[in-house]
Amino acid sequence: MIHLLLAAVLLLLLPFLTGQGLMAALDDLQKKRAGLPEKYLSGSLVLLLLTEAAHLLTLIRGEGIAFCLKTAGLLWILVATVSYLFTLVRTFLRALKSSPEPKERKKDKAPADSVTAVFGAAAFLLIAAQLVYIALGSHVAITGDMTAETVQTLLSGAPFYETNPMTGLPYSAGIPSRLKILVLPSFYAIFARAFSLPATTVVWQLMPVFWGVNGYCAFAYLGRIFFPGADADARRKRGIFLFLAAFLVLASDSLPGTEGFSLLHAGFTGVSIRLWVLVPALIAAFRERRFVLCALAVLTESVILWTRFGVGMTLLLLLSLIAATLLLRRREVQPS
Amino acid sequence: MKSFSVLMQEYLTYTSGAKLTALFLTGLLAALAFPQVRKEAGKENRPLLIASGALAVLCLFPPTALLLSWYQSAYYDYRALWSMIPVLPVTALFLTRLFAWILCRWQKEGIHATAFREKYAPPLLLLVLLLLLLLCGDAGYQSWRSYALPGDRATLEELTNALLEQSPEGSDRPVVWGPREVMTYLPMVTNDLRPLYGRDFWDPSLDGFTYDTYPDSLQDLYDWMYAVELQDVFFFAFDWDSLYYTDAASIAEARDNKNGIQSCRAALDAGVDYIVLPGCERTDRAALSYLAEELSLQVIPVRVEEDGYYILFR
Repeated sequence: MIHLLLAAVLLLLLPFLTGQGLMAALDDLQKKRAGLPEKYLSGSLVLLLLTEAAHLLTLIRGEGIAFCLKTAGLLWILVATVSYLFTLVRTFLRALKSSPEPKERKKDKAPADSVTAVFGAAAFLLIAAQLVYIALGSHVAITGDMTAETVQTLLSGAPFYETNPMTGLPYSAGIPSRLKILVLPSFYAIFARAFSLPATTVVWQLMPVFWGVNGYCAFAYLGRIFFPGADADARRKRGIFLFLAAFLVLASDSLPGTEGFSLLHAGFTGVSIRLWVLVPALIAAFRERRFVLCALAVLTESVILWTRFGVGMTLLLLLSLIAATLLLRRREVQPS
Repeated sequence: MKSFSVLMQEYLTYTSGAKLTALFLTGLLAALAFPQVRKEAGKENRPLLIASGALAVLCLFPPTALLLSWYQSAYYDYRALWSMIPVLPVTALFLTRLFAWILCRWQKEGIHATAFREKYAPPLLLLVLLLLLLLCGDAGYQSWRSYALPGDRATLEELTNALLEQSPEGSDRPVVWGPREVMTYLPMVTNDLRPLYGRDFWDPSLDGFTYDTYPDSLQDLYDWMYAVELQDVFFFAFDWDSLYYTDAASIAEARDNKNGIQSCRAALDAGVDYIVLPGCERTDRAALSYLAEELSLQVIPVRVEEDGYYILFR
């Protein structure tokens, strides 16, 4: 249990430390201000991409999980430290300039009315209940997925993708190379190995909660983009939006491919992460013109899902959003 | 490329089950038809609504869905196509606007009203709306069951421990042959036991993971074990005298087939170290003893009183 808690703490801290620096740098470039959800979300995606680098290196060198763990661990610590130091230096420099920004922000904040409080509390309770439900790990859908078997095989210490996870025998004909670069099994195996956790605990309990939290961060980010401002009306709408997002999870739990099912029963799969985390994050990032975050989402999809050209459905969504924006802009320009 | 008929099958499964998608499409249609809804959704959200609508049409129209299915790599099924469409964010956006509008009006006028209808109708309406929304899904109750790990996890864990206890330390990984839930569970929890075949043997959704194939000889073993799972053979006392066959050789052959002597012998010859058979109150213990005696196997029961297993080994 203590190992599981330690892994959960690491999964809470590391993405935040990583994302804080990244979003601070982007904030400086774009003169914007990122919230906590964006920091956590971007940090998680960066961590996954760093793991992909370690995973590819492990594959090329024909090594096993021990090498992958060391390489990924080093990369994570390095990037998180640099990111955190950057944030510290930036805060220090701002303090020297005595930026009045935080005070202004406090003044802008209107007190929450009773409707906001009710919906906020209901959203919190619903989200917490869903995360507990997922953490129990007893409502998992496994059809069409072999992540747990693959992670268990990686934990044997053998070189990556030389053993068939289903039979424990060496591959005779091998597997498609596009599958070999997918990073999720390595990401999960690193945590299982580092904290001596069973593969099923990491895959069915820890990671779905991690991606669930990331998804709700994406929805909180989306709420801020859909209903901007610090006035009472915007805050109320954000509260209602987050509550409805959590409620619609329950209402959409009907079959694989729906948001509810993805979050509650298959949060560890690439398809679920795309639907639950990447798509809302991409929409919010696009609306805020944070194209680095859009690129992160598209890149993440290419390393967690089997795509035909290395680019997936998030790219298609991004292109559709760009096309729709251009189309509307053109229509607005034409009458004048 | 995925065949059109397969796609249509997946298409029908999705469209008959994903009820929230209907609500999402209703919202989009309302935004298309009524300027007031468009205005309420917000001008800055129009690109999102157009992009979502266009992608939804591509997914709903079977020929373009087939093209998209090819683009996303035919490995994933039709349902995965919808994972690029922001059904939940857009539906939540529409509903938030609706809820906020109702609540705003209620706070301005209704909350201080004396008439029961004006004072309580709006919050009750929202409550009923939420309850109706719940009809779209089953809130984690049932949907996952047909995709879940088969068998009881505690029993499977006990069985795994019993198998590991039996295998001597330092020995080569013993091969296990058993019902599907056992063959599913073992590779997920241990590298020290090796299933004779994996879940991909019977689950076509896992076909794309490897180019490896299984030898045809395993099919007979799988068929017999599947029949045991379905309790077609082995479990029920068998009245040998009522057999159609009259000669002793035919009766012996039929009995051996029925009791799995031949299947188990073939499995042992194929290198299986542990045969796992489902056990329950109704198990024909005479048949089990006969099988064990014929093949000189030892038998260990694991939670048999709670629909557990028998481990047979040399």
